[in-house]
Amino acid sequence: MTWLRTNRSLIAGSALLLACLVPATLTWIWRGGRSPLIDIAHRYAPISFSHPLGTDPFGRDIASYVLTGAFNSTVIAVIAVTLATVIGTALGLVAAYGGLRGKAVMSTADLGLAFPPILIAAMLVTAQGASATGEILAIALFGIPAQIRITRQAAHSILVLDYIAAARMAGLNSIDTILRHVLPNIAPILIVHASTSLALAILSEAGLSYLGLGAPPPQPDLGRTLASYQIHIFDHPLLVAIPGVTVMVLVLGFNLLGDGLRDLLERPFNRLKGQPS
Amino acid sequence: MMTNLASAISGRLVVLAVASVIVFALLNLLPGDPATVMLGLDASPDSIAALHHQLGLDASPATRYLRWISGLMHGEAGTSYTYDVPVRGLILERFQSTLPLILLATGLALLIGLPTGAIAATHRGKGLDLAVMATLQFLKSIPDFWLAMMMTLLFSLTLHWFPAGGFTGWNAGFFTGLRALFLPTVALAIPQAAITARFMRSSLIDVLNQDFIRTARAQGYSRTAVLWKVAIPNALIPVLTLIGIQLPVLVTGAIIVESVFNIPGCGKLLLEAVNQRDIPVVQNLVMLIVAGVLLLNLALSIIVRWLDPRLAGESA
Repeated sequence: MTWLRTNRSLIAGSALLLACLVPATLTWIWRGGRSPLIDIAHRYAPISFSHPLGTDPFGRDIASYVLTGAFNSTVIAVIAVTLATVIGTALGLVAAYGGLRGKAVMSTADLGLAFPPILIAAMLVTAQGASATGEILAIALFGIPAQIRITRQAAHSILVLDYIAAARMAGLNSIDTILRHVLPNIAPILIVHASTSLALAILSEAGLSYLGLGAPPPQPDLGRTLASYQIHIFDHPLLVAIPGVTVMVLVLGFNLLGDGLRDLLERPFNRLKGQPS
Repeated sequence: MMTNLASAISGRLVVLAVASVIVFALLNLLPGDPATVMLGLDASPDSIAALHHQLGLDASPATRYLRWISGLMHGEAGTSYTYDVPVRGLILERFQSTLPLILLATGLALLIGLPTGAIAATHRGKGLDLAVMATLQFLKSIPDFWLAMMMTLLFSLTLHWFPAGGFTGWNAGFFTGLRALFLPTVALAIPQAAITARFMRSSLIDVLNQDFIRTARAQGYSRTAVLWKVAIPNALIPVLTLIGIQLPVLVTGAIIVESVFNIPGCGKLLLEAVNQRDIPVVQNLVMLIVAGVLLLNLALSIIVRWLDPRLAGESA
């Protein structure tokens, strides 16, 4: 258990994420996923027991509005990263085996490098209008190339080891080799990458919805909240500060979690490859 | 070397061609009719057909694609639906603020990031390194557009040092333009500087652990000489690759930051065009950005191979 005391990143990251996501999830459950109601009579209510952060220019409770937004933004990021991880890992494993198929996969990955999520989202919104599906697709498509590269590199370093050759000679086919030997061994790297990808996905999500290229209203999310509060920056700077800090806490949380997991999980992987840890 | 170079270039050209097909297909083959959007839902079928003919939408998709590409080859990018002017002029005009913004931000990110990373690497494991790394982790997590808003709050509204937004072009004077772009540049550069610094640190640490560094030290070269003449130049090579990888992120950031500061650049043009479903503008602007990113990536990978001949054998 010494790692727990020394791995400050893991502790700090988990703490930040819990501090943000537990209240966000509870708020979401408590409000049944609905956005707080507009209540013009109670605009700019001061901080009180019923409104822990006061209310916004529309009389909505800021705390529950921002927390519901944080929940929605995280859900979109998690779905996008899950998609990118599953598809990218599968393609990366194909690429690790090389050959013509592997080359084809890597060329596709090159293609993805040139399309930032904002361009995919811009095209999808032009063609179809704004939607949560489009936003998820835009973030996921951008994540796939990096996932392919990382999986390919990690899987390749396992596939060249002697015991894989031995297993193959013993008659193990490539699917079983992947399931039994490659995936369990590269899982730490994939988990670490998923965590840092989540940080990037939260940032992309906030950016896209800030520009109006993300999921449309009425569901609140952090980027759109920032966009709608931006004009109040002169008179009520806190309105802009709160959603921004929330994005930052989530991103920092996932980044630190990724660093902590790297220290925790990747050492055994490096030892397996014969590198000093 | 030459065959590898040729295959890298032809590979990127294939990627560029496939990208153009994807851009065209996404914007032209998905359901939704620009003529209906422009004329409204009550438009008569006759006027829709007339507009289709005027916009060239009555041709087959393959013809329209080839028409677009051959136009691009001749430097023509069609006519904007909303502004009714050539797209080419629109994009060129808007690039006057976007290109300087991206270049300045890249420069500033390197200017801050490289020395910071190098200092952290040479003090590896000490208090200074830990403090720098913690600060970088923090800066890396700030959304650039939110940083932009917070900086306007501090530097424009409270201290009145810089304008809160807008960009009147370079005709108003070089320094007026530079002053207008200062806050957007800093907002864009800070998260990039953090990423660059972390990368430079690990790159330099990798190099400092190499055998040739020990050899050079053993031959009597001083620690400073080895650092400046051997370690840092070697550590900089992977940073060039990082610039290529971060380019799409930087473009995204520029589009968002332009929006925060109300700068009439390519980002604003793209968003306006998206809202008005101005397909020719979206299509050509996206294609231009994609081509720019791919070409710069290619250029960087050629430079990297030239600087580090060991990589010449590897495929791009």
